[in-house]
Amino acid sequence: MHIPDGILSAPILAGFGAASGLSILYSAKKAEASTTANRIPLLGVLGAFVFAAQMVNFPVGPGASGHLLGGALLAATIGPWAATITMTAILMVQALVFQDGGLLALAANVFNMAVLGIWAAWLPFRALSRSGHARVGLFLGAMLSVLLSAILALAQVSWSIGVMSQGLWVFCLGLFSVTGAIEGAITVAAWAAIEQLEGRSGGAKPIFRARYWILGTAVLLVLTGVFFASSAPDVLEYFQNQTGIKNSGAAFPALMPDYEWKQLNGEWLPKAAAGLAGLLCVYGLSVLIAKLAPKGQQ
Amino acid sequence: MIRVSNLCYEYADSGPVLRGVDFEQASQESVALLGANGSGKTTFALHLNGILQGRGEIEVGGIAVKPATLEAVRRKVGFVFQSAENQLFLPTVLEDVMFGLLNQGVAVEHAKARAMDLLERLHLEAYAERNPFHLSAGEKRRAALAGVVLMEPEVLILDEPTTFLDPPGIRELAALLNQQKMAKMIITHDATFALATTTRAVFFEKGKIIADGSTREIIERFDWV
Amino acid sequence: MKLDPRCVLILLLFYLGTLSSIRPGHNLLLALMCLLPIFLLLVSPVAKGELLAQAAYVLPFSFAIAAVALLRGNTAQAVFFLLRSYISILSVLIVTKLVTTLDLLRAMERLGAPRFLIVVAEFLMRYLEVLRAEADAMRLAALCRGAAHSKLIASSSLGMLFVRSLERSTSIHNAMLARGFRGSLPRLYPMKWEVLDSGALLVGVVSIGVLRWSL
Repeated sequence: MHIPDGILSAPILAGFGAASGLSILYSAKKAEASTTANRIPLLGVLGAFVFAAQMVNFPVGPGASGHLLGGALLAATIGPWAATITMTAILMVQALVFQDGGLLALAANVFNMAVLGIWAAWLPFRALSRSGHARVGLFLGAMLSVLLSAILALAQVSWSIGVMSQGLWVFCLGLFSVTGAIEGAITVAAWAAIEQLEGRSGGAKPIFRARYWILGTAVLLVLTGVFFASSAPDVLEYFQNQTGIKNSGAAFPALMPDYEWKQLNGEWLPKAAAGLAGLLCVYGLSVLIAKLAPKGQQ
Repeated sequence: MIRVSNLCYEYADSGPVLRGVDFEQASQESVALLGANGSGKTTFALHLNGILQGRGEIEVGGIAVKPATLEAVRRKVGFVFQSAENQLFLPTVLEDVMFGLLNQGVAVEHAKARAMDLLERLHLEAYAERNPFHLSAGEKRRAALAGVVLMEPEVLILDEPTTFLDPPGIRELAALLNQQKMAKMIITHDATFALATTTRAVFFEKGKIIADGSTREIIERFDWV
Repeated sequence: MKLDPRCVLILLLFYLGTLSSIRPGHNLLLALMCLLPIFLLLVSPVAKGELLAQAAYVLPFSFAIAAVALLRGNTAQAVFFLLRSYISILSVLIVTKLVTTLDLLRAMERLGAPRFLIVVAEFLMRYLEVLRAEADAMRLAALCRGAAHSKLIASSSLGMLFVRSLERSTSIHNAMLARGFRGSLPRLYPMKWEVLDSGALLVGVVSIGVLRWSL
């Protein structure tokens, strides 16, 4: 999310400017010290690749397409220090040539996307690569990269102009969660294509399947759906209210009545935890049935 | 000027490319390297300035090509790569043409003056401050050549210099090359261009030089038109 | 009057920083601060209408921010954010028309940005159009084969573009080595700070400062 000039307040710009400056100075030293001799042209050309990649429309649904943002792919291929420098160069060119993001606002945009975004992408990728799940790590990293950068950008805007409403936060988080998932999917697809072209895909486990999409989306909905859910009565409750028929109570004590884990405190946590527990129960039950049912009936 | 003895090289992912190449070239001599795609011509040429380092002995201008002598060797060998787009890597044409001189330690103002002088002779002075991307194929080729010629090498190697050039551009390039007095090595599939710019040719096949003679004789012998 | 790019950049950043220090509600002060870039626009040899329109293209984000203020019933604040955003973008646009992007990048380097970063940015700018042309050619080739909505084609295109980028960077590096590159790029454009630049900087900073802090 590129913040333009004229939005952020001076203290926010000063604070994040200092953080960005120090991060970039350090990253430049680390990136330059790399032993790969062709560092300079490699980083520059990959920066240009990110621009070019944004021209490739990736179909993500009926009538919808997205494009690669590139932070996670950069981090995974050239490491976090070099990726930070490349992303900073991209942001500078975007600000100067295309006015995509402000010039003074680079202070914040660089920190959000080139520092936080790159490391948020790198860390899960690195951790999961070690256990042979590079693509999962890449998906998670890409998603986190987009989501965390966006959250920080929204926070910076909120600190500058005043508190944003909860509804707006929820809407933005939902939107960026979807964007992050799209980025994850495109990044993994691009990674798979690169591996194939470089002849590295022979031993890769095809673990990125539709069931992970569905499970991931379900978890996301369960954890955030409480913000979207209407508090209006459902049809049955409405009918009861209109006709005066009273609810006679549950036939047996419920573990989590009204879809809330009553033992937990707060407004969001009891509901989200109950939803997650229910989802896991349903999933576990489904897996059990699948394993026990005769093969012909599956 | 150039002496190569039993040069062998193989790429990690594709096996042997050069299988014992012997070659000699005198100063001011112009030689065409002919042969099918993948026969080893470019791989051979990349050894002469140390970009690739295989097994065998290579001597350029009396200097043995080794990691320790690469700086000196690259002052003697000028290489014009097949892709002018990748050769003109700096943001403006003038900067790019000056690049080699600056690496040789020439002062910025002096390098700039010499570069502008050469660009004017090549009718490229109007493009000095422009991004090389905006030049035509012929202009890019001339600019790439300028950046190498300005370094005054003793050997000029050109890899497929007529790629993307139209017939007038090819004739212009040939005339330009014939004005250069240094030894020249031209990798090309263009028989007419080879005849116009070289007197001798060698023919590569499967990583070895299988024939060496006058350009016309080699072209006729292998029906290379 | 040709100023050192460093002077121009410092003045621009000082102006933008001063704008960002104005709190919402001080619309009169903001309006007065707008006079500076408007004056610069009028005296500069640039396409004025085009720049005024171009500055508006970036406003959708600012519209969203202004909408938040409007939803909270604060029209003055909404106008404030829109105006501040617009005039900031216009200022940057005017400067980027008067000073080349390369000069601005080099000015950043002279003012402390790491040289490594600036050189990478220069390479990026050099090959931006080359790779975009490649991506465009791939997109057209895919369309010609009826693959506008194919994930496979899209991911293959991205993969191919990436691998070609790696190959290109190696080719560029070889070309650099062949011309004596030893690891660091020579600095080609020494910048010379003149008395005029000191004068312009002083006048600019004082004008902006007086306007900002006298009201």
